[in-house]
This record gives sequence, C-alpha cells and structure tokens, in this order.
Amino acid sequence: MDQQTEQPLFELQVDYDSGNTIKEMSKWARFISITYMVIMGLLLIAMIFASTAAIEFVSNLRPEIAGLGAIAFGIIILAVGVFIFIAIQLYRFADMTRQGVERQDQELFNSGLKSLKTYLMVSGIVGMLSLALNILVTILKATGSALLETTY
Amino acid sequence: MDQQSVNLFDLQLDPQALSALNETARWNKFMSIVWFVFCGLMAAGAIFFGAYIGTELSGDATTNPFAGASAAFVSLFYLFITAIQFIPTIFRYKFSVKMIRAIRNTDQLLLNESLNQLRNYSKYWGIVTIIVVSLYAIGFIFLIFGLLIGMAAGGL
Repeated sequence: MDQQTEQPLFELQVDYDSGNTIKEMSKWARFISITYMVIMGLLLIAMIFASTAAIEFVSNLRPEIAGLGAIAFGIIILAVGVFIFIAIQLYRFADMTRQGVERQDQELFNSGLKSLKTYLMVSGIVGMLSLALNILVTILKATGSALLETTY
Repeated sequence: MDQQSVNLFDLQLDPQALSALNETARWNKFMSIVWFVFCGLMAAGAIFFGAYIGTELSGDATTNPFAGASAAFVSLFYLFITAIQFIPTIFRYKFSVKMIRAIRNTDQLLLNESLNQLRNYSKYWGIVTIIVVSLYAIGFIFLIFGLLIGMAAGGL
C-alpha cells in the first residue's frame, strides 16, 4: 500500500495499444529514413562526379564568376549534410523506440524520443527556411520585373 | 509484487520522456500553425496565379482553345501540391494538441490518440515517398528507353 501511494495512481505508460502504434510508426520512419539516406548518398556521389566538370564549364564560360561555382557546390554539400543528419535522427528514433518497446528498455526508449524531438525540430526549421527563401526569391523577382517595367 | 500486477508494461513515460514529448509537441504545434498559414498563402497564390495565367492567355483564346484549360490546370496543380502539404500538417497539429493535453491531464487515452496521429503522419510521408520514388523510377526507365530508341534511330 505504501509503495502504491509513493507512485502516482495514474501514470502515463506505453500500453499495448501505444506500443503497437509506436512499432508501426517506427517501421514507416525507418523506411523513410533509409530511402532519404540512399537518395542523399546518390546525390552526393553525383555531385562529386559532376562538380569538377560543372566548375570547369562555368569558369570557361564566365571566368569572372568562376568562384561562385565552388561556393554553390559548398552550399549544396552543406544542404546534403543537413538532410543526412535529419535522416539519421529519424532512423535513430525508429530503431531506438522500437527496441525500447520490444525490450521494455526505458533508456533506449527515452533516447529514441529525444531523436524524434531533434528530427522534428531540425526538419521543421529547414522546411520553414526553404519556404521563406522561396517567398523572398518570388518577392525579389516580382520587384525586379516591376522595376524593369517602370524603367523601360 | 503488487506493483508488478498493476503495471503489466514496464515502459513508463518518466519525467525525461514526458519532457521530450512535451517539448516535441509544443514545437510541433508552432510549426503546424506556421505550415497552415503557408498552405493558406499557397492556396491563395495558386488561385491568383491561375487567374493571372488565364488573363494573360485570354488574348489567344481565339487561336488557342486550351488557353482557359491550361490556366485551370496550373491552379489545380498548385492546389494539389498545397493539399499534399496540408494533410500531414493536420496530423501534426492533432498530435501536438492531444499530446500536450494528455501530459497535462495524465490522460492515457489521449496519449494513445496522439501517438496514433503521429503514426498517421509517418505513414502518410512513407506512402508519399513510395509514390515519388516510383515516379522517378518510371521516369528513369522511360529516359533509358528513349535514349536507346534515339541511339537506334541515329544508327539507322
């Protein structure tokens, strides 16, 4: 009785239903993360092979902007790196929570939830940044074309 | 021994897990609201862009019978893209709201419902990934097929 009063009567727990839900969720998350990692890997390989030729082509065509090619390449590599990090977090979530539920391992389960938090936070920020960038480009394009129309 | 009979499942949402889930849910709520706003803007943009294309092409309506149809197609295409993003945002929002309430009220049912929404979210993106990868694979096959035909025609 003493033991029961020390603990809250109604604790949130991973019961049969939520355990099954988490297991199914982790299967999908695992599939998505592996697919993203493969796609990013292929993109990285393609970038490495194509970058030298692309930079050389740009420097031959417009030598004054030759440095921009290398900068663009760096930005793309950085973006790929961020996406790989996101995919790894998703994979960690899927793997750790599934194992946590199956083995009833509290520590693994908590680590999985932390990875989920990181995944959702980083992917959300990246998504919003890309959207904001798109909107900015659209506004700049519209302003530019409006200015051109008024000038000529 | 008594405790073991009470908790059939040893896995508890301890303070550490609850803190991670709570932070995830709060962050997700904010993100989903932002995405709702973006989806609204995208939908409005799709309609206005379609109307703009329609007016631009209306001069050609006599020569081009598909002018109106192409404007409608542009609008519908962007609305479709918006819908693809809107559906998971609903799952995400429901997950966050239910999770926050479940933690606040220590409600197991709400917790399960909330996790269900997150499962739907993962499932949705999984299916979208399968469709997109399949479309790329089909495109790639057509590309190779086209190249082979082109090479064969060039050889002839």
